[in-house]
Amino acid sequence: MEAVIKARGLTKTYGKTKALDGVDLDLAPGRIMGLIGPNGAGKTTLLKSILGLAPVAGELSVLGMNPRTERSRLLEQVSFIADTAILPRWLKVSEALDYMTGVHPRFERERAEAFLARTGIKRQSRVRELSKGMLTQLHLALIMAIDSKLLVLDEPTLGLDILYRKQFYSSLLDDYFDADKTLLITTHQVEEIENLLTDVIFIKNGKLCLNVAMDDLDSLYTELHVSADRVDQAQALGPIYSRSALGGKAMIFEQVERARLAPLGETKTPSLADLFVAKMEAPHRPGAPASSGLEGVA
Amino acid sequence: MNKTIMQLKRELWECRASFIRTPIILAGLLMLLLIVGQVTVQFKLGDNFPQPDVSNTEVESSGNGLRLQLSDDRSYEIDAADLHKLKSGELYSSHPQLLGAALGMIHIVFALVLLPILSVYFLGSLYSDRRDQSVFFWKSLPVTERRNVLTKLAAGVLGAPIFFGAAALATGIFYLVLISVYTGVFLNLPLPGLGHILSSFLGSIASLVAGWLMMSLWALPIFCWLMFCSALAKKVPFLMALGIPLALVVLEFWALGSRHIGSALGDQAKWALASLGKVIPFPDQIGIQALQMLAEPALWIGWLISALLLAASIWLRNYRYEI
Repeated sequence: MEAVIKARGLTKTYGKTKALDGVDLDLAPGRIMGLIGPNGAGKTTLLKSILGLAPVAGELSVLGMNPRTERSRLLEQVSFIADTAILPRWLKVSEALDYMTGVHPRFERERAEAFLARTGIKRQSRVRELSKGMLTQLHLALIMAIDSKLLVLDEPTLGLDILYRKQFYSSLLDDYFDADKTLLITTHQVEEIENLLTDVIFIKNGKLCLNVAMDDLDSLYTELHVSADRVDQAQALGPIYSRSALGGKAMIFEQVERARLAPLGETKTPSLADLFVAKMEAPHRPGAPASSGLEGVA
Repeated sequence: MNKTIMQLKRELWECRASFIRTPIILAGLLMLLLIVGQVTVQFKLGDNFPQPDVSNTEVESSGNGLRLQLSDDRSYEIDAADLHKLKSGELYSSHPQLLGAALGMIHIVFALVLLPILSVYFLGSLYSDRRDQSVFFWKSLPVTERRNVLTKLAAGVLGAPIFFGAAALATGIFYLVLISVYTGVFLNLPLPGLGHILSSFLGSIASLVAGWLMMSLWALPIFCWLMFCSALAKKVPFLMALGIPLALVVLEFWALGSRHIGSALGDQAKWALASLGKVIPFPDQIGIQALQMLAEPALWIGWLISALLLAASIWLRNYRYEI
């Protein structure tokens, strides 16, 4: 099956800073990919280039189309919610439904109505009268009612309380996602989407520093809880990251067989949040200040 | 086509207050003024209007008509046809241009109110969604910027005038009814012929539409300039729209001592406004004025500039839309 996204050597510079620095990316249909990175790492630039919102150097095809030159046609099959996207304040809910029905060939009004029926949103309300939570629900109802092949979500749950966030992700899986659809999600709330993802990429300084299927995470990364007296032994195996833990250290290893680590202590697959911190603070990037990656993790 | 209609609707939803409510309010206001005016006229005629001294006036038949001989040696001849018209109250039908002019004046008021509203609309058209970031929502939908920009232009030049025109016509009809009631009830004269009223009314609709279109064709580069500034500005498009031409005029005068830019801009605005005054009250002038207009090279140059400004606006919306 044709790749949904195929990117080779994507590069984008703003003045002297490289927002994207030779990014290669493949996304197959039916996958849910998480794009995780600290602020300013190039996440939004990457998404924008995929959506044809910003020109970018390199090879890029989305659903076999060039996002820059075939943008309007592409957007019939790709839907997205940008993190900064705000519905216009003057728009009425009923008008939003009318408008989407009029301009989008794949918008299914009944679906949007069904989503909205579960919320307290009135058809006659204007966007400016809705609470922050309702606003996001409305936006999601509009976008999720589009039968698109690729859905791009940039911080979809930003500013929502935990109830809304849980609701959102369960509705995304239950009501929206199916084998023909592909999702690309960025979020700072890594732990909330961890169980949802089939693939994950980490981006740092415009480069991908992790690009794996979630199923491969087990075999590639191991977290070891080691007691103080065995720290030196564990250190010798070259952890990419270590932090103090109760009665010893917690270390993360990359491509070290779990069998070799097991005798030293308790092993498990690291959580995405821990792996993210590990990757962002990896010692082979000495230039980065210690706190640089932390703001990206909730 | 469906998408274009939806885009136009969107503009109307957004500008409901200025495009729809304003003309309704204006019509209400004008109708009130017309009533007040008519009542005042009635009052003046009844009490204060100097009654002609008819004691020394001799009225005699002359041929088929009448001959009035006033005491100060002035005399008036009224022929039979005029007498008939006068008796049947067909002032407006014997002088249709009078009715046309009255309707025209009403229409010009609407056109003059619409102009500043359109200026504000165009200045915000490609700016306000960038400022409040809703541009990202619009851009998530399969609508090209070309369609977006062109429908915004159409919504301003053709859409808004429909509502203002309808309100103007409603006010015109109200005025006709008012005049008829005044003539029929207060002056107790038979009403003017329906045919005459209708032809005056239809003529005034034609001149209203033609006058507005001619004005828009002249003002097109100005509208497009406002849209361009709206797409380009990072803040306060108004200052850019006014500041750049002003700076050019001053610069030209300072560097070359000439005033070509200023006079070209002035001419364009003058022509645009003149079409309102020359066409709207005078339906019979439509053809002549249209031909005159099309013969002006400045018009065609203006269209060329408009096309360039539109192309630049579309480019800006595609490549430089983030504030």
